[in-house]
Amino acid sequence: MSSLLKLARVLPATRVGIQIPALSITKRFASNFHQQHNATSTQDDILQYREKPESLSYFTGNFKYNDLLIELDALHKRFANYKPIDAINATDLSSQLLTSESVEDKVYSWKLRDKMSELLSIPLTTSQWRKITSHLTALASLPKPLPPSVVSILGPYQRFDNVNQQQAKTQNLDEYGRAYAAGRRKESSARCYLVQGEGKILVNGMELDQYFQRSVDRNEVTLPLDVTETKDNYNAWIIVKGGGTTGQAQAIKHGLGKALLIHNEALKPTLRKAGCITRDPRVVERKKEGQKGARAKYTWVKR
Amino acid sequence: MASRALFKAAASRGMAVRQNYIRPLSTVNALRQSVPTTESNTTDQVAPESLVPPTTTPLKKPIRQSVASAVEPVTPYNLSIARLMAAGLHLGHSTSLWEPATLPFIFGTREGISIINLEHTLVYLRRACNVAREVALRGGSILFVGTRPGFQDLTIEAARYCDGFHVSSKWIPGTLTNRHQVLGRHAAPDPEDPGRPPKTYKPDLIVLLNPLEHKIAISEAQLNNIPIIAITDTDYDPRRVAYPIPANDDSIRGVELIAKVISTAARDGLHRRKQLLDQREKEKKLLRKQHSSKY
Repeated sequence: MSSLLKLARVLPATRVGIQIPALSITKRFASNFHQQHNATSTQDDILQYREKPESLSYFTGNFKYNDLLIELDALHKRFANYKPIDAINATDLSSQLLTSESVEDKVYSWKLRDKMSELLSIPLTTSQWRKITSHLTALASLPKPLPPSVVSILGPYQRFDNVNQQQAKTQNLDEYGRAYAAGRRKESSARCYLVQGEGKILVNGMELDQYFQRSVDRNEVTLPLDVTETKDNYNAWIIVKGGGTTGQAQAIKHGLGKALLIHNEALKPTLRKAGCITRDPRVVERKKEGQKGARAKYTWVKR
Repeated sequence: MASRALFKAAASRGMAVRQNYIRPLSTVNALRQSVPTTESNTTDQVAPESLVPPTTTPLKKPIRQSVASAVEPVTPYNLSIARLMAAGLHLGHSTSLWEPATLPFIFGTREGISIINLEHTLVYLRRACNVAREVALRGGSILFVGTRPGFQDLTIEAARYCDGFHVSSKWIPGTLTNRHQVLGRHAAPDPEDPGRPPKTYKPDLIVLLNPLEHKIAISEAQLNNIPIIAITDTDYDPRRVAYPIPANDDSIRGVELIAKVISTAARDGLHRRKQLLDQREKEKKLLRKQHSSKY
């Protein structure tokens, strides 16, 4: 009985746009439900035009974003089993190798969140942007060469300042063939000049043994050259100031590593593994009020 | 399987085995009697390995999909208990999580889970299809809500098939009760009157594929007098929604079947509406012609 009443209550109320005449004042019971129904409904009421929202994802609250994700998903599914057709000039091996290399080298970098929001005219949060870029990356990871429809869709999302950034960074040797680099560690900074030579190292005008009494520090300074086995190829002229002995030694290590990279890019993985390229971020931690030092607390008193 | 094949082979070769003894209840006995008499090379002919296709045959689609498409597609008009069972809709939840209000729909329990009576499922599913069809006939908008991770694709597909709408990632609380803020936020403002908040819409029917996680959506719909069709499992009270369908809400195949069937019914309603509209257009044109020919 209650379910029938519920039905009777729910059904007539949801039909928008019906001109219910004075009959609506009568009580709605299951017994006179059909009376009302037949009295008010005609073919015209059923077929009356009712405005609907346009987008499929209207009720998600963010329909443009959801529609975009659905579109990218559908595209990915469409090309799930895509295999590129062999190139027409497959007989010429050298040209094929060249084209395959150039095609595979292309790294897709996507627009950043702000620019992408502008492009799509949707306000994007970081997680939403990440989701979009992951879908775009999935599309870009299809076997190359990509189908033209995919390329045309991925086009507007690409970031174009990538090329300029790459060109700006290269450092060169100066007119005397010297590579200059600065190294830092913990209040010490070292200015290092590295030239082709026999293996001499001068620090603040002094010999290495004179300046660094501890063998540990001397080993730190020569570490970049030792690891890459270029000890006898280069002369180093170093000016270092600030900090203490160890700090200065490690600053020189950092500077020499960077200078060596300017001479020879290929040594990067070896130097990175040895730890000569990363600037060590550790510095003295500040003392906090209410404590004896940075971490040490005053003696704890129970009462 | 192998023994059955052997028995068939033996019988077909006219070994006069059949006429002499009563057909065995199990084929194992037949095997014992027929094997000693046959030669070794003939048994190789019907070896079980030959029945299995070679591994080189390409399997383009998963078997479930190829089977599903080979058989005729499921519509609201050819539903049967066998189909519902094949989709796993009869498997309820553990008996310890049982909601007593689902008692009329439970067939029994087995292995610690409640089994849903598919006769009821069939009836309620047909009722839900009728509701969807009639709503679509009257030009109503149907919203499919399915937010579990495996349901997203099928919700979107079902919505697209019948020109409906979907919510497949998250139901934002306030979609119905706080419409102007939630839905009006991204809507384009009125070209004539930019100050006025844009027009927002409400669905006329909601199809919920996992009501257990959508308490908020159900209460919002009830406040706005929108009927809900929902797949109610044995751990959910079916009296909370207008049109429950007692069925398993965990199996993706089952939920896909229900969503497809409801969306097919809605599409039929749309089709009928289009027919009626075309008919009315024709009648109008005829009337106009008659009028113009008169005067």
